[in-house]
Amino acid sequence: MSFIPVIGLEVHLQLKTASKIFCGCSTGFGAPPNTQACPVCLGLPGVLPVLNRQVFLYGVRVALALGCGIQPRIVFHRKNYFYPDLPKGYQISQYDLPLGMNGAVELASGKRVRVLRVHMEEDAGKLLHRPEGGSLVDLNRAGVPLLEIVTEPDLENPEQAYEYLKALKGILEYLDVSDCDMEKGSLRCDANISLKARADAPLGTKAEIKNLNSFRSVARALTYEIGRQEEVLREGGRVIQETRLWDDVKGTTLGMRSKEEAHDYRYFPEPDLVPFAVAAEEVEKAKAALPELPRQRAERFAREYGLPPADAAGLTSSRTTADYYEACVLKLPPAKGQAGPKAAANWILGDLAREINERNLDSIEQLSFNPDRLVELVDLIDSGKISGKMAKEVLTESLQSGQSPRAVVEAKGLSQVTDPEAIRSAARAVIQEQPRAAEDFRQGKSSALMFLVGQLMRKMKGSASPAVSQQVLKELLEKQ
Amino acid sequence: MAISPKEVESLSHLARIQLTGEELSRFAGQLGEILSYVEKLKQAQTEGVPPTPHVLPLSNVFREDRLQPSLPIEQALANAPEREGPYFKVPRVIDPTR
Amino acid sequence: MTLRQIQELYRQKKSSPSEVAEGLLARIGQWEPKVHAFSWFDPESVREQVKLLEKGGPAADRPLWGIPVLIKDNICVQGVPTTCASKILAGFRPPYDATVVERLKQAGAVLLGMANMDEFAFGSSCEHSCYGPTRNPWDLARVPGGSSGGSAAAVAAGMAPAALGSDTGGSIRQPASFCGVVGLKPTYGRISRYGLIAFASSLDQIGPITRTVEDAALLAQVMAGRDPRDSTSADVAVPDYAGALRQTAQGLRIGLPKEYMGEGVEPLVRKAVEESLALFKRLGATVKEVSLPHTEYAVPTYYIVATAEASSNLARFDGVRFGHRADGKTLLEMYTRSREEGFGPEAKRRITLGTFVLSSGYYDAYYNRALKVRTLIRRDFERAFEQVDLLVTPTAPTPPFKLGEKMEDPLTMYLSDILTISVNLAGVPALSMPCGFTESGLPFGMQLIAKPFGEETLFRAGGAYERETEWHKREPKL
Repeated sequence: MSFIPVIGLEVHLQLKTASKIFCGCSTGFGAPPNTQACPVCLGLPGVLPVLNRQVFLYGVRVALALGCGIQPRIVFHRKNYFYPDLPKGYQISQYDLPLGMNGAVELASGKRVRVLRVHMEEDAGKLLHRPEGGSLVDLNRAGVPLLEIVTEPDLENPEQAYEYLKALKGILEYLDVSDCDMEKGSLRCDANISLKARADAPLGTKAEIKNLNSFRSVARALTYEIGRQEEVLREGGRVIQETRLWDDVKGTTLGMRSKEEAHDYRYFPEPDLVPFAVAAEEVEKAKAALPELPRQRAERFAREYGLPPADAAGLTSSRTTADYYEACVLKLPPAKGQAGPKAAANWILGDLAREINERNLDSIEQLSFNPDRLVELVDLIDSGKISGKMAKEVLTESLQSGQSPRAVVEAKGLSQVTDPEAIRSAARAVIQEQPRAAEDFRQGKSSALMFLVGQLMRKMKGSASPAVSQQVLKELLEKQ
Repeated sequence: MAISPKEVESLSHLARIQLTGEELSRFAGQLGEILSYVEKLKQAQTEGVPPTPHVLPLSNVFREDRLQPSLPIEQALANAPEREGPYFKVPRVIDPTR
Repeated sequence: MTLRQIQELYRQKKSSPSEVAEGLLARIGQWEPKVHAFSWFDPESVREQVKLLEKGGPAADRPLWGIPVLIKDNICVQGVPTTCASKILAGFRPPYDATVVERLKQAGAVLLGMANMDEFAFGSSCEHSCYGPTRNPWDLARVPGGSSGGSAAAVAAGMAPAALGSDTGGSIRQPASFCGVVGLKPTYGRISRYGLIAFASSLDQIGPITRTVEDAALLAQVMAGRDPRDSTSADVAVPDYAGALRQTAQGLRIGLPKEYMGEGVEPLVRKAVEESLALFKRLGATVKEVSLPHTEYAVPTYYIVATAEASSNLARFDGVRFGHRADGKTLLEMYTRSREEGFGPEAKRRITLGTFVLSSGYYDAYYNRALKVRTLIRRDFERAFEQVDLLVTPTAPTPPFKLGEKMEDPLTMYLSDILTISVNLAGVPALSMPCGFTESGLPFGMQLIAKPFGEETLFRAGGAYERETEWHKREPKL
């Protein structure tokens, strides 16, 4: 029997405000332990929280971008439990009156993943466990603002989960509210997964998977977990509702068979914070102020610049890349119609992407090759000064030396020869050296011409324009 | 409403207080009395009445996203019962699910 | 001496802060061994503050220059042991000042010391303190009331011209009544709670305890006003409270809630309140009977809401970052032992009850229901204030009871809060002032209640009554 996976994802996003959610301490990463703490985030007796306006604004932005409705009454709740990284013995979070509800993310494949809710909460501190016993507490992170984004269990397989995370990250990056970096912990993901026997069967018991450190881990962990649960069910056993930790090295999940009963968090409305509301006009204004999101931008790129959908999607998967591309397009001479934008797209998706990868960079911005330079390069090819092949060398040299493409071409005398006269003598030499090919051509073998063009290019050390070379050879051959 | 010492024990675990056996029975009795008394609330007509978690009609109180000085680390750790360097120290934690 | 009298002496240069301080220190030397009002006291700290103040000299923007004020042990004073009279906070010195303390300091006040209280403000007798009980200066075998018992006793005994207390269900007003002094619980949100170690966040307020209504107005003026560090502090302008005192009671519409004069209130107390109302009538006020029909639900509502919030507020006392830590091989042991050792029985009881009413399965039946009844109680007051400007009631059902009398049965203690509790649930302001003495010389007070942000009415009525009576001039004898 085969089973149908039912997957839901919970993403925690650290917001990149300057200060924490309820106090003025810095949210900066990597500071020495306990140097970014104050009485409020230390949870000292007598302190009170005050909500950071920017956290609220970012939250509204994200909720709207994910298609959620902003709730008319937004209330914080206390989630009560004991842990050393939780100074107050409760986390200020949201329960049944969250910031936003009922949105959706559409994946490129067309699949629609419903977003159940978006809410605000504070992050906990960090614990370091000493192998010899004891744990150390660093509260720098306590109070850093988080948004929690929870999907309905709409995801059907690990690949979709991966796609969702990529799409979500794309949107979040466009909103510029977070670094969205799973490695730095500014984006965290927990997964809930259960199996059901048939599409119309009731939901199975779910397991919660934690300790997922990358999008790939999410997919791998879900794949493993599907296999594990399938095996349990096939053997006639029952899946236990529990938290399981993903072990990235072993590639398995480990059940936490702790004695703890299910937590009773005793949620109640946070009396130290007042309720919040956003007027309808403010919501409309915020919606209007949303930047163009990845999907819309991709659709527009395809339409306006005549790009195939796959290319448009590739260019818009990251905001910086999309911005770079549009900067180029705006600088290209319009007379060329869509050839210029197509060429720019190819360079970005091809050679530039490769360079970024090889140099282990995070974004196209970090490549010392700004839009002006790409436009220059495209223009050099377009005006026939250099061949496409030469352009690749020019790019490499430009990246290495830091010179602009035009400067590189001049310095290396790489100009492509396009003057037929200049090519003619070499062409004649080639025809003389290759009598059989010349004869083949005259006999009607067109491939012989390409061979001769190749020889001519070699003779001219690649500096001859292929088009002109071909033309010149043809003329000479036909004359004789 | 009666409450058993066993129930008091689960509550004390939730509240992380290690009550003695004597306290468990004494509290069960006292809390039972108090809870019986608060049953009185059932007589109040609360149909259609909204709860009042906040008595002031305030809403939307914010602070601006500006940095304020944090405590110098010596002050942050000044009251620490046990510390190791710049950290608070606690006995080993069993639950690694976080 | 009242605060006002001291201010006048300074203005006329007839005395100095050091003279006033030394006088108090002497008085403290006499009374404190008997009364035990202080949880922390350091004469040298007082002398140092006074020296600095005298060096700087008085200033127009320092209305409390050289005025010693005693601070309840649950209000954070930087660098000073602030322990809520609990073992679990033994040795805790906050690295920051409560907002009210900042404002007092800015106004030139002298922090006299920390006042004893019921542990974490859980109590109405000041007998639940890890430092031992405070005694009523009028009769050392009796309680001063609670939880701000130390503050009220110190002011009554002349050991401090003024003190700060906190009030969650009557903890300023009831001790003021038992000690024959004035105590004000302001409107919820009038005075910042930042730095007040929380008991029940939606009910707590800090307020002054003084010998006269005028002094209470002076302190309230300095402390009131929006605090950006407290989200629940109201952005309402602070009026001229001293000005309100100059008004007469002419035309004041007073209501007497019939539910507050029932059988549980001692006849002597009822009679004194009726006589006070007669006095108000003579001063030109009108008096009518009103009803606060949901009064009978106040105590159960309070004990659910307050203990629920308290159980959560006290979770931070876990031995990790401050306070008492017991040994434990595991984290769980450390938590449970530290809290077992650190909390007193009343604290443990309330935390357990609060945990229960919030726990899964009981939330709707207890906590959520209590919040709904709270709405009903609030509406009672709103309706009453449509008809009258001021409510007058007894503050406590009895004069001060004997030490140990109510310790056996927590429920009996809780029921004695019946007259003060609704005020906190509704968030309205109330003031207690002396209105009589028993034959054996025990004081008791009456409670004035106004609508939200109606402190001016309290001062107006209280001031008018005080001008016509002499209760506030009586002093206990050692």
